Amino acid sequence: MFLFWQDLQSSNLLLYALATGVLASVACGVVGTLVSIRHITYIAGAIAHCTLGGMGAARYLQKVVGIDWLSPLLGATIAALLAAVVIGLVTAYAEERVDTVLSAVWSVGMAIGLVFISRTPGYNEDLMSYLFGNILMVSLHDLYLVAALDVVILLICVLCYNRLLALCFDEEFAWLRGINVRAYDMLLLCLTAVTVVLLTQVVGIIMVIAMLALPAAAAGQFTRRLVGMMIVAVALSILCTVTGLVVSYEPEFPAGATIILTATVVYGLAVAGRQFARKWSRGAGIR
Amino acid sequence: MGSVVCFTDVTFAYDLAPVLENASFEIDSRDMVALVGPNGGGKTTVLRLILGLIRPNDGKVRVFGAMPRKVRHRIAYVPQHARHDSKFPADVMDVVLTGRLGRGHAPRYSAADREAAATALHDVGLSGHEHRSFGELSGGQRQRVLIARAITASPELLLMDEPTANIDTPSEDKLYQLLQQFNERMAVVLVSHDIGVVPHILSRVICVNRTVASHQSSELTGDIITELYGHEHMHMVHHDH
Repeated sequence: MFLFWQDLQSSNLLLYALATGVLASVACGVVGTLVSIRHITYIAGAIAHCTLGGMGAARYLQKVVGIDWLSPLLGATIAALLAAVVIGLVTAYAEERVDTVLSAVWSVGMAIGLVFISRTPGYNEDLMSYLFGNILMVSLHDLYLVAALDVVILLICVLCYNRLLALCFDEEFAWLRGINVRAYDMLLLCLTAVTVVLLTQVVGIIMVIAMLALPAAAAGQFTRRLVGMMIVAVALSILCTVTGLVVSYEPEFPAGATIILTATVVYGLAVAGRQFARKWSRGAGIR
Repeated sequence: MGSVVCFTDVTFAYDLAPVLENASFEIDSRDMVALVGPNGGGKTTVLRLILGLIRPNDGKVRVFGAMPRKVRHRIAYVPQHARHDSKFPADVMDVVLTGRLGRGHAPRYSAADREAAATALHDVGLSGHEHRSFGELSGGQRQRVLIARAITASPELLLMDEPTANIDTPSEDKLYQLLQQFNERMAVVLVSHDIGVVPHILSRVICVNRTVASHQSSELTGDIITELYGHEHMHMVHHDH
């Protein structure tokens, strides 16, 4: 642990990693809370896996075709938003089963990514970092993009807070109040998509949904209002990412996996704490 | 009295078999009406048609003389309270305030919104419960929160789905008192599969079982009920008028 703090002062990469973790945690706590109360964690999962298509295609275009500005992170963002729009439109207008559409988006994105990666010489190791995350490879350019996306997400959530709450609580009633339910649903999917992209930088595609679900679920144990749940979820996400990063550094554990394990422990403690608090207050009530 | 809801020869089918056939009826602005009928008889379809959530295959549905979806902001709807997620992170005030939202509402609630919400909570007898979690309330209390949410926007028509499901008898009595008060300023429509609960406060009962028949509540006799439900339900009713 000492080594981490020592290296933090000398290594920019470590600083970028820490900053990315904290910035992504902010979006993670806010949007993860919305995702969990709207019960769309598995839509987030489909979007996450679909980003591999964008990353793979962008890497190919960057390395083989020579389009330098098209970073994998940008490719992932485009793919995630595209997936969100497709899922949103299909579930709203086509009378298809939602899980069929999700499965298709989920695997088609991965398939496209794999094809592109196989055509990109010498970059098979990229695949591992996309799937499992490699927060220590974040560049300054990526960090700026993460920060910008964070600002956009927060701004939208503040402006649309009441409507998103109404939509998540009771969709039918929200529609009757004249809220454009389809538009806000689409907005929520796009927010989810962008958050997923930020989180893939930290924990990788495969573990994104744990990061969306666990801090929010832990926060939900102790809060009774949406805004409180969001704030606590942000704090817990930051706690998990920073702890995961610090703990994994010296023994060279994979950072993403360590962060997820930390989040699981936090969630477990929150559930146990809640049960304990309940029993205790019940016992006190009897006396 | 102006007509609030007007169905003219309405037919609706989800697939091929019609759920509702040539239904015609009217509800007036001071009516307190129950839509009753067996499950699967089309009550919920009538409710959804009035709310504008679905459109008829044939015939005309008019609410305040217009297409339902155009006037949906003038309709208050109280769904069954049991269907909400009991872990949802919202307190009573949060839930009631969503009733103030609407097209063009500012991102934040105004002082007027909060005042209207507080008044509505007072009307349903829940003053002082503003900051309790919605999920920890009893069934009857949740229902009253949803009623408060529905009336914060000063509606002219109040629709309630299965108002007596999952609440105890004292809550039920309180509910009917409330509805009578509201009826002084708006039309009230209750949807219920349980004809045994039809209380004397109703002006009319509209029986829905694929077709629609409207009765003054005083005319509601055993024959009509048998026609509606078949024999096995005969023992259920007899209320005094």
